[in-house]
Amino acid sequence: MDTVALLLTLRLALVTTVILLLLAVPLAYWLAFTGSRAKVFVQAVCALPIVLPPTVLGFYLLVALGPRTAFGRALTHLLGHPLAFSFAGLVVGSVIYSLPFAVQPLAAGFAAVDRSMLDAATTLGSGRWDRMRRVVLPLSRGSLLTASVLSFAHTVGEFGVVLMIGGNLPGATRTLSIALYDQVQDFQYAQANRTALFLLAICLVALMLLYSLRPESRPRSGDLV
Amino acid sequence: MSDASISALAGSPTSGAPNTPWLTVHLEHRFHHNGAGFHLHLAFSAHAQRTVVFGPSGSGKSSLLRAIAGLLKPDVATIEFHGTTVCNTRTIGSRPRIYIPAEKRRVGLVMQNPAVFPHLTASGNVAFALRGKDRSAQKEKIARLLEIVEAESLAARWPRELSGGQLQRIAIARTLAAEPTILLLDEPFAALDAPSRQQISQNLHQWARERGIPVLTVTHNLEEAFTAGDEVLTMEDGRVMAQGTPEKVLVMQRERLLQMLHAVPAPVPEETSLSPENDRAV
Amino acid sequence: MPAQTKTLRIAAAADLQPVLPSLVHNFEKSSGAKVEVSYASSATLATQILNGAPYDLFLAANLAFPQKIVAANLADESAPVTYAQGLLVLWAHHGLFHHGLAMQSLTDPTVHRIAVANPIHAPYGAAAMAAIESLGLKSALQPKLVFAENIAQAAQFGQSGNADCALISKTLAITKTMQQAGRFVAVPVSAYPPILQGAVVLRNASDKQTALEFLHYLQSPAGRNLLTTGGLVPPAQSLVPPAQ
Repeated sequence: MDTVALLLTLRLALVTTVILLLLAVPLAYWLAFTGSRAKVFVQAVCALPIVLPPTVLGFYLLVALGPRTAFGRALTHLLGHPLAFSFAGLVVGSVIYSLPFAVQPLAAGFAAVDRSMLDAATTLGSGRWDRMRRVVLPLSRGSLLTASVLSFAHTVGEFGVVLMIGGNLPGATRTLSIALYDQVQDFQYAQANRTALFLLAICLVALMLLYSLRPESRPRSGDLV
Repeated sequence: MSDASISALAGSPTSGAPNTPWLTVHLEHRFHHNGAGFHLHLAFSAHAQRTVVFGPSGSGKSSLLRAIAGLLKPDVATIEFHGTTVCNTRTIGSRPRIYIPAEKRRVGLVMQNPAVFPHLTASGNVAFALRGKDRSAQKEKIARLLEIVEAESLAARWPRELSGGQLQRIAIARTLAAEPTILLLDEPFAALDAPSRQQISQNLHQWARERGIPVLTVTHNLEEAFTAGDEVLTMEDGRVMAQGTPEKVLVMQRERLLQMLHAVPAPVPEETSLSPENDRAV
Repeated sequence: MPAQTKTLRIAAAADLQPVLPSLVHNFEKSSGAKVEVSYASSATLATQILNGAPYDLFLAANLAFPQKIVAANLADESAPVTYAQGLLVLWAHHGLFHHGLAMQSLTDPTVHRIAVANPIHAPYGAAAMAAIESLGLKSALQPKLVFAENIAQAAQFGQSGNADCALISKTLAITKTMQQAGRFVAVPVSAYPPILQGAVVLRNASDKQTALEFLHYLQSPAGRNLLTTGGLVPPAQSLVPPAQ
């Protein structure tokens, strides 16, 4: 078992999930409660990574954010190194790639909160952020769990984006799925089998955890796609 | 039936009524959820400590309360509490439009749907609006409020364990805890049995009177309407039909009230109003 | 024989991507056959073939991968045929060095990232690592290396600016895109084992005849010419048995 790759994969999934929740909660809140006409567009953009091939994403990260573009150069300056071939680059890729798996369950959960609860909180003097914190979030715990588990598992399985921009660096970008690929290419089928089973086990455990804690509902992806 | 005008009964002798209205409402709003649409159009002032709005289902009573509380943004409205404007959709000269958001209006609203927060215990719910960190003082306060609604023993219980009537008590206590400047009650005792209803109503009105908090109650219960208020307004189809002391209104609306009594076989508990997206304004 | 359009399916190593199209075009014109080519790293293609991919001809970038096919009893011959020799070059961005470009230049602090194809998947990657080692540059360069899936991706890393330099095949370095983005210099052939590119016709090929014809064509004067201008070295003599 390639423990370096395993730890890297888990670290990537964890960091991605945390960042994703921080981004997705306000975004999902806006989607759930806005009356703005931009909502349809934002929903579509958030759902895009589900249908977009990961290689497309990887391509854009490589080229559009590479040193040949002004934006890429600015980013390099900010980070101190180019986005590609770095853990930071993988995090950026993973956050975009797993975005819908965080936003959709959250938006669906927020929208499902009984409006009369929100009305009651409002008349009790609770403003928008207070309501979010004390009513919406506690009543959407299930959706938070779904969003976390799905984002985590989805990132563990990431391959296409990592292949495009990773550079296969042990400890930094050589995730378990890449290691598996290398093992197959190297005809190390026994090792590859072990790695594959391990990846399978992680995802299975994650989903079982989700189902056991939320027996009354399947992980919902909302009404999109 | 003719519409009652605003000045129908200004300054009528009611017990302990101040001369300045504590509530002035002028409201026009169209609901578009039906094919036909529903039109709220009314204007009135409330002077009495206890005011009752009476009307059948669908007359727009709940929407009126929602508008006063700020949960409904009316097309055209002027709403004042104790002389302070909380809502004015018109700009006059250099004075801009005014709309104080619901969370800042200090309006206590007890809805038909108690909407008790399932993720907090009963006392957690009651404490929702309480600020300040003094735990023991809070506990004391919660206990006193639960006494008013005769629910002291329910403090540590979870909402999912409680009956409809118990939830309603908690909702009332929770609203009182927020120390509102006016109190709006939308059929708050519907799930309670008659003796509890009477006792709690008494406790509640006493509590409000002690603090000078005027109370506006909405009901479709004829008996309650004409015994529980110092002033009564009747509503029908989104309009105020009559306003005055219970005796006066009984006389003015006699024919209509008899019609309503005979048309409806038995007092039907009104459907729980869930959200403003209902087709009918309740 | 009834007239039918024969389709020749070729699995070709990534370094052949710039070279093969013109060869294929000419072959199609003269033989009337249709040719479909799939490009990937030699390892990827070998894996696919070992697992039943329906190719007719495998053009790898070394001899080891075709030998695996032979060992698995999936090849028509008993040994791969060397159809060309590959050349490793060092490619660098324009404006990176003003002085001469050489392998030693890679130790310069202005070089941050060097793209190399994965040595396990790609023979050119293995050659690049061998060159780095034999020139005593391994410890200096190891921290700068990034590994691409195949040399085409390594070239892409260089061209997009994400890597400053890349060790790639000459065939890729002489393409217009790469010439526009940078310049290259040959890595001394003594520094790495010769890249002998081997081919096998597959046992389960639907049309072995056309496959052999194509191999034969590669060895023809016209074919050798195109290989040379493409950046490969054709073998000294034709090792392909004449078509029946």
